[in-house]
Amino acid sequence: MSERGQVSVMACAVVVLLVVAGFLIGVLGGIDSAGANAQRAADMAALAAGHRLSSDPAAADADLRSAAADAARDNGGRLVSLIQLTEDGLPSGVEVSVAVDGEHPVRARARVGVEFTAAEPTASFRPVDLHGLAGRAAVVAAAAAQVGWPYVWGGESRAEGGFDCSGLVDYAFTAAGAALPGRPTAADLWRMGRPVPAAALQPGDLVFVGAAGGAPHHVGIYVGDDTVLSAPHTGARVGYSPLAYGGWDSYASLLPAGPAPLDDPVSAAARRSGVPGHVLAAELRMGLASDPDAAAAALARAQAGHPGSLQEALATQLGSASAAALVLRDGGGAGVGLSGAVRLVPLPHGDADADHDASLPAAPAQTPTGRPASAPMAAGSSWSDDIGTALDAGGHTAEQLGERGRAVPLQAAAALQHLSRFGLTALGGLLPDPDWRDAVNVVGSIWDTYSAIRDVTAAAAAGGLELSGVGLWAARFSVLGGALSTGLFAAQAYSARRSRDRVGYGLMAVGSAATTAGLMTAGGSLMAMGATTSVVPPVGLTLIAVGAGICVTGYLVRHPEWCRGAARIGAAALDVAWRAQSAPVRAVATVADRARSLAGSIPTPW
Amino acid sequence: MRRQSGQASVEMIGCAVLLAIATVAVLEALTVVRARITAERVADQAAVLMAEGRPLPASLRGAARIERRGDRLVVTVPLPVRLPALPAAAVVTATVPR
Repeated sequence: MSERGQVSVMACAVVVLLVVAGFLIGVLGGIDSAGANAQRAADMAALAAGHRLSSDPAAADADLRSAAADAARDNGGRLVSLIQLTEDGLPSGVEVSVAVDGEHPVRARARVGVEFTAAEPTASFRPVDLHGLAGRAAVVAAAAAQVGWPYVWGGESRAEGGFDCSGLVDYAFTAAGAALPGRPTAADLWRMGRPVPAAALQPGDLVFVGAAGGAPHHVGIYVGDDTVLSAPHTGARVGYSPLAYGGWDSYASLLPAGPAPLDDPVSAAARRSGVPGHVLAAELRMGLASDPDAAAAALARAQAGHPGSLQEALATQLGSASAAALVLRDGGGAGVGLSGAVRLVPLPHGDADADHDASLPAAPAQTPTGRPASAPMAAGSSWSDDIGTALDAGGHTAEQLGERGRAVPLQAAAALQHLSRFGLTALGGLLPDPDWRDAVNVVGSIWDTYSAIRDVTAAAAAGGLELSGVGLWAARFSVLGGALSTGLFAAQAYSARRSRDRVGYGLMAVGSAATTAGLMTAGGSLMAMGATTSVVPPVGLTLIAVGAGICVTGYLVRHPEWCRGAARIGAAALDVAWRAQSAPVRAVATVADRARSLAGSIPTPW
Repeated sequence: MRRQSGQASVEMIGCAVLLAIATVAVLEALTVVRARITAERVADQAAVLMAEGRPLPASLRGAARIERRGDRLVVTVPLPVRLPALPAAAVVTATVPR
């Protein structure tokens, strides 16, 4: 009979453990799923903001937030924060934090890096953003942007490979908003112009060779400071030369007379180093350089290494292809196409706000770069796949528990605590030996006492302990279980034969009642099925602590042998501690005694 | 004695059935969670790749059915064993930013 009963009890225990395991799987799976949802929402939000940034590096924070918020919302999340990342003052990426509310509120972060690429138009020369310049200054700036292009006779387009002298003038006037009729040659320009004496030359005026004979064959643009900008001859490049050494014999102006534009230090530095003025100005505007001459010299050195590509020269000078693209865009304006490769990048360890530099790592061919991607399982999975998935899920869940958000660890820890406590209760009810059951139950009561004292301490300032999710349901079951226990303990106290059992069960009944009453101080929200949160006030937590303590006392009254055993263990521990502590003293005393005795044994000669 | 033996047999059978049901339930829970996790992972990776403008590798497509419906990405991982009360597959949807 008793064997049959034990089989049933053990079977029930296994079933309960399986149910607990199933519950645990469900809870952890839910937490993992919530974490994955949050991470996906964060990834998509970051990528959306990154794409917005890649199309407009000057996009306002509000625009990026709007794009990120939309993407987060579409994926079930809520944008919490967005930080625009910069590298050397230039936009380099975005980091977002996204929250997913629900049963397992989770917060996740994601970071994208944006690598900009500039694309100059294929059919025309360097576009130039004149940044408000007009008239003579605009003509000079537009021409100065073309420094470095090769001379090609009859050339007037990129497709032809370069400029000739009149092509450069035509381009500069057109870019400055003063387009010339047709495609004038040097002779046409001379005829269109108003002759001016050399002493009255102003930046933007034209200088000619051969005009004295009536048909000039070469033309340049006077840029001030006795310097001419021109596309000189085959084999040479657009560049500066002194007015005195070019053989210029005639001068004319296509622009109305007016005050000469000021020769700014940036243009002067570009002229001295022979570099395109518009990108030098952009570098200084964007804060990438502060000394025009030093920046111009650095760019000149870089251009010597990359004579055919201003973008590559800029990348070499600035140490970043992305920065070079942004400089070209700023200097060239909307005519320079700008695009950006947007990639998830790993979050820095520690405080994300501490490091806003987001460099773009080389992207592997097949997997996203945002984080170590877990390999998806192949169809027709094997046990190794299952183990891998389990490990992956475990790792992911651990990541959720450990890193993401503040709510998840609390929820998960609470869930595990409640499950463990529930496991103790189940074990205490199912173990075959009553003494074992009591031993497990007293551990549970000590746990309750400790938890309640800890909660009282922590919740005193907050006005109570807020219960939600798993915690709320655990409290509801605890109320039912506490009420049941109170009745059972009272009945056992009534029917007990030994006085210590009567006292012990009585104390346990009182303790259970106090614990239940403590939980009930949370009010109706505790048991209302529709309620999602409930608050146990400090007085309730105190009652729970006191009640659990009384329960422990009840168990100890019923099991004086535990007290005796504990006293024996305590005494033994104290004895060991005392011996350990006093060992050095005793050793010193022994050595001293021996020294004394040795000294006494030495015979005196007198 | 015979009555006790008969009762023991009935209890044993009952316990075995209970254990079998509980075991199947736990295994099914594991399967559902596993399918869900796989779908989440595939959806994560596929959505990121699509948002970055990169092609989906074949290994990703082999792990689940991936459908693109406008800007929505639907990833379906069928459950190997179908029980009447449970869904036939784990489905995860991601919205890829344009």
